[in-house]
Amino acid sequence: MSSKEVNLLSISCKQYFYKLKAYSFLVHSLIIVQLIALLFSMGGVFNMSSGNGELSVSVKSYNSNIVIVFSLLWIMFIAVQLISRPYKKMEFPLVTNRLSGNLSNIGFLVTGCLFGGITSSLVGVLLRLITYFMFDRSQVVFNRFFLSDLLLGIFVAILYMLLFSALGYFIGVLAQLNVSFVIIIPAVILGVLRVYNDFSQSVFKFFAFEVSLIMFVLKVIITSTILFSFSIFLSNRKEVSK
Amino acid sequence: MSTIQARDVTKSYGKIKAIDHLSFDIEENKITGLIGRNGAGKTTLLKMIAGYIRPTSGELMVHSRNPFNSLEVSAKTIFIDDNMTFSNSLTLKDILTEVSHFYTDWNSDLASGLFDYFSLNPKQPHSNLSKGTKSTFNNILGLASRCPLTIFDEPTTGMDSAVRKDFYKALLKDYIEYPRTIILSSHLLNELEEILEDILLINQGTKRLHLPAIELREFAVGIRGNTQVVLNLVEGKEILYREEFSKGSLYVVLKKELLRDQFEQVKQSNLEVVPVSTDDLCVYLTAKTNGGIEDVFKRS
Amino acid sequence: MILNNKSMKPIYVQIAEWLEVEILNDHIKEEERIFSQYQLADMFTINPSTAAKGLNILADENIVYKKRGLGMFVSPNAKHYILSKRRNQILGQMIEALVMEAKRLDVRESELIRMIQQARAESEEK
Repeated sequence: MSSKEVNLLSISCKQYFYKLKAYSFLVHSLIIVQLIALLFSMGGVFNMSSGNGELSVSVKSYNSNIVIVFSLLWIMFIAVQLISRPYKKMEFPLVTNRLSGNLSNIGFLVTGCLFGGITSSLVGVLLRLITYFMFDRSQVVFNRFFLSDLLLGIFVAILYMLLFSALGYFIGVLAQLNVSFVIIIPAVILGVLRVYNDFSQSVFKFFAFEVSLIMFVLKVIITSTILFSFSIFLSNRKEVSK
Repeated sequence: MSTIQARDVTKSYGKIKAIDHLSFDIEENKITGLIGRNGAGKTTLLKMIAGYIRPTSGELMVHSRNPFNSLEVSAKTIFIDDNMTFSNSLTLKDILTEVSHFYTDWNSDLASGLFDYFSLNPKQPHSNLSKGTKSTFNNILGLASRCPLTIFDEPTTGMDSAVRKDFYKALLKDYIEYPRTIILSSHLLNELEEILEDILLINQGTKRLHLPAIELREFAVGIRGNTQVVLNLVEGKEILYREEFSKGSLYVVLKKELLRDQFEQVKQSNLEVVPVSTDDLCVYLTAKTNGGIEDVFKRS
Repeated sequence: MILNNKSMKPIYVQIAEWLEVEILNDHIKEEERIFSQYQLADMFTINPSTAAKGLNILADENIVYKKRGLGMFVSPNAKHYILSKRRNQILGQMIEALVMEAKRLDVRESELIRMIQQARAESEEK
């Protein structure tokens, strides 16, 4: 009989590394999602044209916003998936309890956020390069490129992804508690967006209009932590039958 | 010392009781067979022991702890059944390597030895395996983990008989080398009876028998002969099974100890005493009526 | 009372009988170590506790004895004991059955003895 102490952290770590390998196909899916987003971006994100008979001006602006939006949706989808039954079932052969499973899932999501944040910003750079070579350069106006902007962009993208992953995970846990939540949650979200426009706007402003980077970091991290903690709390007492 | 202690354990799903006031102890380092028909509650019981689900009432202790959601119990327990799934990103060899990190007593020589013996393809993903091969692979995980409590739920599903025999042999050999508590569930007793030390027979969520496997062979006795003589002999005793062979001839099965004082009477009364095979006995003990399927065709 | 026990003989009894035959055939000699319960379990693919019960039958009859920490050993006069036991018990039972059957078939005593003698002579020739 093994007398070794069973340590929650070390087990969670082992599970984390296991999941990095076992769920590597999810990371591959991100690359596909980002390539699709890149294709969409090629058509220009924002079109504006005007003319007065003599002269017509048409402006297309290119940026990687679509890539970031797609990546956010991707991490949210992954987060919902991770807590679902097929993924729970893959934990069964391992040493596990609900807590270690949740911790390793969160670890996996954070890794996904890092990877997604970095790649989506880098895809933005790729988009720049493509436009640079594809179009007549005399007709293209480039914003100046700063490395510090890129790094800041990566950092903020990671934080947003973290926020969305925490939200997705929470929704996933609710959906596991009761199947009816699968219908109720999107309905509630849509309802809130339409009826309580002010509320949803203030939520949006709470994050998006924050000018202080430190405050933004704190807001995101605290919100994500609260969401993840609720998820852990709710899923901890639940039975998982195969 | 007991690895598992169950006291009045009940698990209900709505009004249906999958497990109904079950009490038993499973001692350390014994191989126990959990025998019961389909739907007897074997899997529900094993899932409670493994900590996946919680008893509705009663007390269940595994390694002296409540197994539900317990990391300590999980570290000492492995539950093998044909529902196990692995990611398609992992090949069979990957799975062996990855799972090995979790179990402190893992024996990789045994794992790779069995893997090669059963000629599994190391590059294949788990989901592509046929039913029998999947069982074989899962069982290799179970054996190699060398968990202090190893649970096999219907381990030989889909395996052909040669592989079954090899599996039981491998299990016994490794058990001799490294004794641990093993539970094997099955609806059939015959092919695994000889490697078992104890048998726990359950029916409709309740315990029918829990005794050493060697005592099961001598648990019951069958008596065949003239209906009237047989009825006289067994009057007032619990009959496990009865079957009318032809007019005036009756076959009954009852506990051997009920006849202890009447062996002389049996000898003189020209009755045939036949041993009851353990498989038949299990069927009789888990039947709803004591006339078996014959009853259905005898209504006229 | 007819006991139809051939196929249903408990495994531990079969183990004990097999070991007796091994001793009778000098495969395991007196004062030699006999198989352990684990060796027997491995050889016959049976649970070690079943094998132990087989060994215990022999120990109860003093055919084998325990040396502390060393295992089970064959007793000094085990062979002789097994022989006489088998003569008395097994042969006795068989002869009883033979006599009963002869009676049922109306075979007279002198004829039965003659048949036995003939069978012996035939086995001698082989």
